[in-house]
Amino acid sequence: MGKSQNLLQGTLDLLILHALQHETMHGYAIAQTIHLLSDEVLTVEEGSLYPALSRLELDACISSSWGLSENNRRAKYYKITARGKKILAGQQESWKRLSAAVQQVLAR
Amino acid sequence: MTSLGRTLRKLLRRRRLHAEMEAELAHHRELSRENGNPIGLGNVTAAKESTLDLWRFTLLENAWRDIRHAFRSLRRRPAYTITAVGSLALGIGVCTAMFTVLNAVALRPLPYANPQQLVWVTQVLKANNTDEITFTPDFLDWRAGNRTFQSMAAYNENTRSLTGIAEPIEVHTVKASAALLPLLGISPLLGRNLPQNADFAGHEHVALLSHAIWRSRFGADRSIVGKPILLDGEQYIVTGVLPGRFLFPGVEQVDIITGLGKNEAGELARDGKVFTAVRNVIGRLQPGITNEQARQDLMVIQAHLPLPPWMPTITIKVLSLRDHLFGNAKITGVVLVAGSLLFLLIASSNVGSLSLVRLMQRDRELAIRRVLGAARARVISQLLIESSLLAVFAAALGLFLAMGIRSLLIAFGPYRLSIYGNLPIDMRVVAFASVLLVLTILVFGMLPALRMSDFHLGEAIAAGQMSIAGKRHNLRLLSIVGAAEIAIVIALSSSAALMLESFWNMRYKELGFESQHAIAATINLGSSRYGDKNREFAFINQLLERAAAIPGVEAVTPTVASEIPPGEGHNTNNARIEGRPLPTNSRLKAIHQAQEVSGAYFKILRIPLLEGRLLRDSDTANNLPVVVVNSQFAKRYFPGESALGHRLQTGERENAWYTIVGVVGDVKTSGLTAPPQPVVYTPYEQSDGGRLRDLGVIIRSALPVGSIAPEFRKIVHDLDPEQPVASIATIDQRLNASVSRPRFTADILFVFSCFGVLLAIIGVYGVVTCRTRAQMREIAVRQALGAQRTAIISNILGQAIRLVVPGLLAGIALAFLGNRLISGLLFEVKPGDPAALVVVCAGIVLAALAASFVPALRASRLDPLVSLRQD
Repeated sequence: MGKSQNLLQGTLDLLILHALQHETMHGYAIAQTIHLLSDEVLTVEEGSLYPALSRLELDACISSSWGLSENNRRAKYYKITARGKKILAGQQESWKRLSAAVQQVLAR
Repeated sequence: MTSLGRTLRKLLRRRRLHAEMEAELAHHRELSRENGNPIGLGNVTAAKESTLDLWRFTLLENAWRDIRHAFRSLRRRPAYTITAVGSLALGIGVCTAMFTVLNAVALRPLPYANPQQLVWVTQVLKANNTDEITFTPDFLDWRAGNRTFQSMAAYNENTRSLTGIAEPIEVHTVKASAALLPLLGISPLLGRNLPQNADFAGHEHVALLSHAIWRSRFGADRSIVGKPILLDGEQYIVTGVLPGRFLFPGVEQVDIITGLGKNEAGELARDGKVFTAVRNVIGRLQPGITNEQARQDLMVIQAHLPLPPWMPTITIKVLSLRDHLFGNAKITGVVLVAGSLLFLLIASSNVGSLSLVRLMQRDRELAIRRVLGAARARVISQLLIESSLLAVFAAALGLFLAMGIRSLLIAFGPYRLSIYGNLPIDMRVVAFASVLLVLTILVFGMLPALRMSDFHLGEAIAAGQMSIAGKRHNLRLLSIVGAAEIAIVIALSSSAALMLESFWNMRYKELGFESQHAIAATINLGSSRYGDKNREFAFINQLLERAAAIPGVEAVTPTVASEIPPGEGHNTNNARIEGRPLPTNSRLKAIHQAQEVSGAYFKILRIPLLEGRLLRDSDTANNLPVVVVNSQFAKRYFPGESALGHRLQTGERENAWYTIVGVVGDVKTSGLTAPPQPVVYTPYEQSDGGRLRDLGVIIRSALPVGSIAPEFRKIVHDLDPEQPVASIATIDQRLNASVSRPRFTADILFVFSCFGVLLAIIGVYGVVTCRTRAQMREIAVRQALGAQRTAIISNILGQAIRLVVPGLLAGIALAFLGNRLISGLLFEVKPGDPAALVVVCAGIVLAALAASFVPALRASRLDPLVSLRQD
């Protein structure tokens, strides 16, 4: 399903995987994390978030399970898989190259 | 693959996934709200939909929605739906029924062990005529000397009387080699097969009962094995009962199998003292041996065998058993299936054009859907789903229809289509019907769908062109389909008309007698008890006397059973006419058919007296020998003079001179298709009787045969409890049975052509409606300019005629070709008979005009303002 040629979509996937890198969390927490880590610059809408999560799950980059949230409500928790970690590493690499290249263009 | 697997798994848990998604989103929104967070609140539905899309649900959900939509839209137009489903069901039904015939005769394995090894063998003897029969000694030498057969068996069929049971009956029996059943791989249900020594004369009095006769006549008595039964008055010991599923490899089912009983030593001596023949030889080839190898093998043996005194040339024929049993039926089956497939094709393309018409009526709906963004693929798939739904209904209905047609074929089919006794519906038939279903969907579903695809609706709307199929070339194609249908239907109907006319002539024209109220019974006095002439006549006279006394019986006459109209095979006699030199050339002898009857014969059958007098009851053995001749005899042997008063010698009583006392009208007694032959009617009491052992009794009564038959049987039983009645039926039934083959062909053709006419009418209706639809604007403009309704109707009818006439001309040409093909089957009908063709053409043209009148009328009623405003 490698169809994330689209920069923005690919970026969202990258951000989600990054957010999940060290801990398991539910959808809202993922959106929150991204929001906070970007110093509240990036806002992830649910309209983009959940399709992206489903896609990543179908892609076997993340797995999900139902659990109780911090305030005792049922929530779906997402966890990165080995495949997800590998893809994250690769994408981080290419993102770095890309942003460096863009940086370089803009600097001139 | 794994992702497909996941998709499928998720599909199965679809409902739960929906719920989970709801829960997850609700959770998200709740948290958003609690945190007073600006995050979220995008388009929730879009989020759901795009996620679901991801799971590939849309495709299937769309399909399901389309199916429901198709169902609704079919229900909204019952006339269209019924017509379409009806014609497709008819097509599929007829095809499937015909296929059951082909399947039974050509595809199903014969119900024996390794049936591909079974062959039917015969000698072909050529002398003056050709005969397929095998000399017993030659068969014995083949059996002993061959290297290509595992085993060989011979059998002869005959009819015998089964007596010693509650009611004596005629049974169909076979004298067979003991090897026959083991060769076929059949073992008895009870008891044992025939013992080996039953092949030898003196040991043949052993019998195997068929399951049917064991149940119907012996009450399924399990202790019957080892007990005696009486066949033609001789005792046979029952050795076993055959299984119920056993079918004898022949045309007629067999009730009892007895030993072959040949004097093998005497036959092999070939000294002319014992010399018999067998009608059927069945063999099982060794594995890998071909029919030709087996034939060569037998020919080598045959070359060393002496020829019989009349020196025929002998060749050998080896046929696979299936070809022997079904040779002709196979061709019939293929022709029937091919013909019915053609019909299905016409039906499908017809329904295709009908659904095109419907499509045009719905073009606005489809165009709007298209403009609103429905993908073209979606619109097409929806049309295809509608077609498929129709076809599935049609196929289901067609299968029911096929079962109906099949039971008609079994009930009325005069051909012994199958030794199975029925036409089984097995996996092959079901598979065939499914293939038909797919073909139907392809032919009639793709037609409108493809037309859709090469057209850009948006542009069509922009151009104000309110039709999808309005392109000129599409219309022309439609017209060609319509014309072709008319041509085929005319050819077919004219053949059917000729066949019906031919059948009618055969059955009813110039019979020479009236068949109403006449009942014929046949009794085979073959057994040794009636060898004596006095006993034979005593029986006949008592029978006549008592039969005449049955209440409701007006008259009774004896006759020779094989001469009862329409007659079967005939023995002819030569007569010598007094005062003429005895001709040496057999062509000049007064050859005639001989009938032994009483005077009542002519009254019962209403045969007209032309000259002189009829036979009288007083024409007995003690009085002057007299005969009555038919007009053929009088014309042929007494041209230009009266036959009355001439005397002739005939039959075996060479010394008696019979005086011709009357001339009667000609009667068809050589089958209904043969012209009447010269006949001499002798008073039965003045004959020497031998031929009357094949006794026929004709009774005149206004009562139905069902009430006469039991009385008659009772009389025969009282006179001789051991004597069965072979048959009892009305003369009409006998006549109908004798023409059942041509009748069956005519009926099938007739049904086909009715179906064809119906299809052609639907076709013309579809085409004309399409054309009118495409010309709606033109019509509206003409109306606006003041054209009368009648002018518009006649304009459209004119177009219809331009469609029908080329079809008509092609059809007439085709009819002449087709009728030439069936000319061999026709009786007293010329293939070019214009009457039938004119009737058929006129009927079809009228029907076509009537069919186009509907759309014409509809078009003339259109409100021009409405039609014009649509643009």
